[in-house]
Amino acid sequence: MSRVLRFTQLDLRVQQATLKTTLAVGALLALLTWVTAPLPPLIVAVFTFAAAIVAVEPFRADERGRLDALYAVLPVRRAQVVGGRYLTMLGIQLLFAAIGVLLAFAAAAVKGVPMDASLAGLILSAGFALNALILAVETPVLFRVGYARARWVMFTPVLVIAALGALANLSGVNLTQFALSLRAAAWAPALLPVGGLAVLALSALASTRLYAGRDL
Amino acid sequence: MNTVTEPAVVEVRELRKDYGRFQLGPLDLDLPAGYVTGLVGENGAGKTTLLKAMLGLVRPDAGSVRQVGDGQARPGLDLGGVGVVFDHLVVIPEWTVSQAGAAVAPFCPSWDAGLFAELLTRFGVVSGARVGTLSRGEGSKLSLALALARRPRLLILDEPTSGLDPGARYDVIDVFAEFMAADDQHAILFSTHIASDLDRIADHLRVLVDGRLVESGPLPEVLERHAMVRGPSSALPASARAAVRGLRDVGGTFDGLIATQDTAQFGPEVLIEPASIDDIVVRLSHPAERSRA
Amino acid sequence: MVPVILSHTSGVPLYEQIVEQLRSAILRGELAEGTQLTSLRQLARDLGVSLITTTRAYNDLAAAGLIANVPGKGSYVLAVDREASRAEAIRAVRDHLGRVVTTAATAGIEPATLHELLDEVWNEHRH
Repeated sequence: MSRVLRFTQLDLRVQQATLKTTLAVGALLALLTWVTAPLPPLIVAVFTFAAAIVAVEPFRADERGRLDALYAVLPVRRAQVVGGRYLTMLGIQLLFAAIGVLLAFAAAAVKGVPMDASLAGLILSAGFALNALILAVETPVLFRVGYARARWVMFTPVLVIAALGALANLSGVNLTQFALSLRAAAWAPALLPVGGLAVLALSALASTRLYAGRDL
Repeated sequence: MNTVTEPAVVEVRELRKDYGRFQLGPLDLDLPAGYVTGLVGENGAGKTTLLKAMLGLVRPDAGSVRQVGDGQARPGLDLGGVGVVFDHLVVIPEWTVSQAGAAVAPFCPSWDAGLFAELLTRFGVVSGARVGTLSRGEGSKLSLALALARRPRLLILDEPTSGLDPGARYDVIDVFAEFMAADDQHAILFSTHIASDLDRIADHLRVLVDGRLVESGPLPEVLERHAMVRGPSSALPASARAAVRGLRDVGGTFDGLIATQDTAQFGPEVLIEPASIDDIVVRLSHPAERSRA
Repeated sequence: MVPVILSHTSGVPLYEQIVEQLRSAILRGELAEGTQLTSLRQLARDLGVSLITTTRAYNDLAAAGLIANVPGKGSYVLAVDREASRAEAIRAVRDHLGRVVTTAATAGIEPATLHELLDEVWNEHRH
């Protein structure tokens, strides 16, 4: 197994051990959305949003266990640590997406409402792209200064959304119309994730350079 | 055997790291293969920084660290063959001891699970215990077990016995001796404040003061180069004052560290005794005279 | 290999103690010619001393012609040259006696008293 994958495996072991908190949060989320969501696809949205927050948990574990020092003395290069970490974050997002979709279908079945699968699909793609943008900004900072000193960067989701909103206002784009046209566009579900991955790849390059120069 | 020119397994040359108020180096350090080297110095002298720079955790501003083996020198250390113990745990508190081993194992082809279990038993660390519940001493022992089970050829340890009671220290030093007896190319570099550990196992000594290496050599030779001088203040000639490092001249008596070759500067009223490692570290760290009328 | 007992408080350097104990064992015949001594590293481990200490001890023993250090194989006891050892021992005793005589003469102790003292001390040490 390549070192990058071994690192992802290590990351997942760490997350597994700290599972309880994540599960508690997840259960609470699930309950909340089940009860409040009129539209099952909104459940997908909630979980996609939550994924952005949970995806940086590995950095918190690094800080708590001082794991950066461990990585530094294992025979794994810093670039491989970065690669493995990005894979972990993708994995977390996939997991949350899967749970969100399953719960949405379940909610639809239980409540007896129709499940708009294509809307859910669009939410997944757009959500992934948005998350990718958020993580692409946060992760290099986290690699450079560590979780404790990067708390300010956790505001990124809020900032990104605000920035997009401002951009929309400035360019006179009506968000609702934009969303509807996006929905109609056949390319959206395919291209948005690809765009997201591209952004993450660029971010990974930046992270590699920043992490390489970091004193531990 | 000529103890001055034995080959080094790690060569540090002109290493420098600037932290503003503190500067490490420039310094040269050789880690002799087949021997145990003790790194001593007061807190803040730069021992941890030096070890981190050697391991690549910290990037030096200048200089190089090379590993020598099989007739060639390579930049940086081959981390696959190095076991490291920091002065803090590098595992998450939620893991059990055996989970910590399982996490590290996949990265180390030479991981010896049997040895890991054996060391835990020997050190009295329960494999089912949560890391977060371990005492400081147990934590150190776990770190050591994790480092040794990788079957490294080189051990780099930052204060591996601090926080351990004398009995535990005895066991740990014995494990080091076993490690050294297993292969004559093994080497250990450990930083410590505990002189009795050095007495039992250190072959070489490196003394760090304010980021500079002020003494380096085989331990018996370093000790032989220094002596402690004590006597009535009247027996301290003005000409000899400069030769005394860390001179304390208080209440009519004086003491300090001198080079053995300088004993001739003193008359018969003084006591000349061998210097201990602690004497050497303390007096070289505070060489300026401390006197009261 | 005979047990080596080290004193950490006697002030006598550890390597010297090792040399003395092994030398005695060899001269007494307890370590026969050809016996392989414990390896340097194993001895360091057993005695709780550094490798440099055991190395110095074995080097000194080799320099005194009592053992041979074969690189890659180990250290072996050599045949005791009884006459040379005896001659060396006599030289050492003469040295010590010289100091004893000086001390005695300074204190005004006569040869007859010295002989008595020698017998007393000899008997004490035989036990």
